[in-house]
Amino acid sequence: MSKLAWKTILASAALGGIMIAAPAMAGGTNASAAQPDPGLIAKGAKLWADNCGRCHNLRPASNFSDDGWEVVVSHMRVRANLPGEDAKAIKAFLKNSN
Amino acid sequence: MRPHRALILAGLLSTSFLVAAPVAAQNASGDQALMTRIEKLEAEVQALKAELRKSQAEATEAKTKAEAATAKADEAVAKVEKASNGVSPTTSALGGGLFNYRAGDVRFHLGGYAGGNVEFVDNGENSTFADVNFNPIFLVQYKDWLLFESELEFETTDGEGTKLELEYASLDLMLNDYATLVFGKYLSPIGLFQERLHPKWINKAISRPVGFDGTVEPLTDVGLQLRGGIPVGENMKLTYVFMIGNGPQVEEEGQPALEGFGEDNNDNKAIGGRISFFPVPWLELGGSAYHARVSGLDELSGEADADETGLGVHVEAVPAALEPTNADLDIFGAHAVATYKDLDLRFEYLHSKRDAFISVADPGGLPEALPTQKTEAWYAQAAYKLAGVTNQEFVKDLELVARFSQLNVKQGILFVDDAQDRLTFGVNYLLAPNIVIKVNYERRDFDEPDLKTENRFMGQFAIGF
Ligand code: HEC
Repeated sequence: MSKLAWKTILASAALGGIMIAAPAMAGGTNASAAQPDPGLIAKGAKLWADNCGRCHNLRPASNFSDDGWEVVVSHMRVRANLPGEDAKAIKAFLKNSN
Repeated sequence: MRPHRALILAGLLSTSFLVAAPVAAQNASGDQALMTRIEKLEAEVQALKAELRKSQAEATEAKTKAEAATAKADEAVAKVEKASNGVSPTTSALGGGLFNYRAGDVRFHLGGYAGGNVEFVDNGENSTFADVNFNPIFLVQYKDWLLFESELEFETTDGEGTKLELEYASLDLMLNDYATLVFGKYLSPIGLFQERLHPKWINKAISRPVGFDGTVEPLTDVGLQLRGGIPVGENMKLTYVFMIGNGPQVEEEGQPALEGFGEDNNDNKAIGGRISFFPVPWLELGGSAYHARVSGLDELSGEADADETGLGVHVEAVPAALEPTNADLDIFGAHAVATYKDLDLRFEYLHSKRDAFISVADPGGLPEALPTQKTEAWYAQAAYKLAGVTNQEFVKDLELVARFSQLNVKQGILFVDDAQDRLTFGVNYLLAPNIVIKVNYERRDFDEPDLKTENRFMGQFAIGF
């Protein structure tokens, strides 16, 4: 494997460590589970149906937990160039329907 | 004026008229004042009734709206249940990622994909290949504005054991709703195939379209991207990616390796981007463009010799009349994607041109003049899920795929043996939306008259998690 690959892996491990440690030290404030907004969920359902099957098969909400969807949809927001508000609605829908 | 105010006003006007008339007739009595008050009250009651009717109408409208939204959601869910072939949650639990962890605002997710191929080639001298890959993806998210994404690839190679490679590793900073800054090693955004379709569980066929493999389409780069999507009106959308990277480096025969390098060998950044427009959510139309500079080599296994002065002046003497020079590499292309219900149609075209330049082409050789290289690649692909026409067991889980791809060398000495027409037919059996068994037949018809046409039979198992 290339030097770059190792450097990146090490850097990412360190970064991950810092990111995990920081909030833990700060006491790890959990964002309270927001009350689902039916309008947002309905909007998210449509956006999910419109967008999430464009590159690969649609993945059903049951595939991931809330935390899983949070990260996966962020990943897809970047990959698929989704506007932030659309990603937010899709997250609301998937977390509500899993 | 709001309607109930108008009513009140009308009431008051009519009241005063009724009041005025008898007064004018000099018919005033003690009851008159009382009448006036009663009539005024009556008018107010009417106004209140009107108001009540209006808020009832508003409530009904709100209810209808909510019902419509719920119906939309139900419809979308029904759609996915059909698309996922009614796979029960237990089966699709395989799609739930490998590992998930959360500490406060930090979330960690381990996913990825894996697969295996077998391939039988009939080209006169028959041969069989098999390879296996495992690509873990690491995602670390902080709050909702920072994401680290990385993918490693473990892959068996033809005879040399296993290879481990960093596919990408980047830090994505979500600046606002419409822009994300990506920093690190990323999949090339030029064209669509590499960034969006190459994972085995996503690719509808087994092979790649010819040319979309680092020949014409770049694979990765190291640098920055600014990317995002902007809604246009109610239903339309514009998406963009701009990139700047270290760019490619020259390899044997003056061929640029279209991959990300950790350092820039010639202080000439590669720049490029892709734009797409969605007139409706299921249709994407757009194009890509890319410009880089590659530097000729003064020895093959060594460092590329950048002509920093741009005048062909070099400090070190090369024992030859020719000095390595730089060459421009330009790529442009267009794409169209329609994903409508169970049908998936794609078209992509890429054209690349590298100018003539001077470089060592063979190990141990001297710098030589290499001609301009013009290469183009395109493919058209159609896939259809039979779930759209049948509910029958097994058949409803099948997807049919056809793809035609072509690599043309329009000018130059590179890729001449790769230039071909590639026709692929496939049947995919979807065990779940993320688990697929593929069977393909492929015919490779080479442009070079000496090369025999190949018939390939391929099988693949792929899973994304
Ligand atoms: C622009 C194409 C595209 C669109 C649109 C898209 N995806 Fe993806 N998706 C991908 C690619 C490519 C991968 C594989 C990632 C990799 O291997 O680097 C992927 C991977 C995934 C995975 C596997 C886990 C992961 O993060 O790698 C899930 C789950 C997923 N997508 C869900 C979604 C959802 C939900 C949406 C809608 C918000 C969506 N996708 C929209 C291209 C897309």
